[in-house]
Amino acid sequence: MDISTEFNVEKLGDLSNFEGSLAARVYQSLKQAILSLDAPPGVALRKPELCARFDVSRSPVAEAIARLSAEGLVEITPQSGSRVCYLSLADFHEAAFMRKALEQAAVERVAETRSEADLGALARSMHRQKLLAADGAREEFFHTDEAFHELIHAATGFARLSAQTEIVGLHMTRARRLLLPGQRRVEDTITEHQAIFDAIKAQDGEAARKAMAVHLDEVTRLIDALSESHPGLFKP
Amino acid sequence: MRMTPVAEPSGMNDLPDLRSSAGSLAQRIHHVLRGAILDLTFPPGAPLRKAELAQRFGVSRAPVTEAIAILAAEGLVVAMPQVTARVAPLSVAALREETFLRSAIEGAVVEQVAQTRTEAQLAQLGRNLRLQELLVEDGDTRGFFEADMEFHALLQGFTGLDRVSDFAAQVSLQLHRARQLLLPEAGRPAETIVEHREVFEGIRRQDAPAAVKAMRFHLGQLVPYLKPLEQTYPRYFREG
Repeated sequence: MDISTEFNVEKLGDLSNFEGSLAARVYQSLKQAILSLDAPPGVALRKPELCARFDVSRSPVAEAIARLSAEGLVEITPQSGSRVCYLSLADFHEAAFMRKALEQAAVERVAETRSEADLGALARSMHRQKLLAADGAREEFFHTDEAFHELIHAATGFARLSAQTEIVGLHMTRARRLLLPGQRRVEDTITEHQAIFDAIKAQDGEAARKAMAVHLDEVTRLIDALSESHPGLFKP
Repeated sequence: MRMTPVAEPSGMNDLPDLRSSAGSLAQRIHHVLRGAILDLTFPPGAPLRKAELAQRFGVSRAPVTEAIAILAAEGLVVAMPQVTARVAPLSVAALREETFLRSAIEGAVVEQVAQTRTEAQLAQLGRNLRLQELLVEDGDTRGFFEADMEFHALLQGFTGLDRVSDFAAQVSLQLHRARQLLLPEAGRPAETIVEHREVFEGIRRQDAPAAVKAMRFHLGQLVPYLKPLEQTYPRYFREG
């Protein structure tokens, strides 16, 4: 498992793919690159280079970097500029703890309050996941997996829950990219999601909490195993 | 819980100096403004004029713009192009959501602490509870507020996860502001201590489900106090 140490700024998504102010779009493009590891851990973010890539002035780039720094994805050092934060196992464990806390509370609430329409949307997602798995469409499966979790967040009725879960889980999202999306893991994910779905269907909040814990703890177990077999991957 | 003057403050003169925090210029301005918004020096709806702030801090407009962008991303400021940025109004929906988030996090915290706590940690919590009782006897509202915060901070610290307390604070920013508006209610501190004791007992017995249940009950007790704030301070709340 090797991560590149080079950052090709041409890999950054074009600003036309994103919405919002100039700074907001620069922010989203950089964040996508950091989370997908296209901008590898430890690499320098050079403002002139980024300005040239996006064809913008320095101030939206500086604003975007400040926001990424506030989220803990970029570190700014007064002397040597900005760099993408290294992966750290401690960061991962913190993110996993927070994400689990929010996801367990969300799924418990959804099990207790779900409407038939909520259940229908989740059932459709389960079908879609199984079809993608059967076809071996792993990249699409990855997005449908995330969409399944977002459906649960949306069903709580809390407008900002998805965004909050994303923010607290950033270091988990980034580390998860290190796991090779093998067919075995896809099938296990479906089994774990099915248990979550069944508990929501049965309106059993406690079972839903437990099923969510099993699902998220599995990711933690895989990352821990990876950090043991590849000690250089994470900053001590 | 502290009383806060509800008159429209000038705000600017109450801002601490930039030297009181660390980081880049924009980070320090962010830190100072965030503090002023959270303690209601800048109340909900107050305008944040870039030129005025740049002058107050003796900096150019660029770091002020950067700081305001971070505050907007945190939901503390409403910023739109061509319009003066304003401190975000409070909303009942946001307070309800943050209560849910806070309960999720603090529930997970006590669940873990109940399983991993050491005797030394238990002794620390016990001392904090005894301090709370003494401060209530003294009628020291401010001191009790701080000891209450310390109780929760100790629990967060015992997880061994450095940033859990930051995260917990970050997801309850509106709640933090709303709590500044609450007047000290007769009897509430005494009830709070009883609820804290329940949490403590769950942790002492290493009974994680009981500790979680007690923490959730405790945090849920704030809800009835938040509701009337919308009537008392309508101009601080978002309509609808």
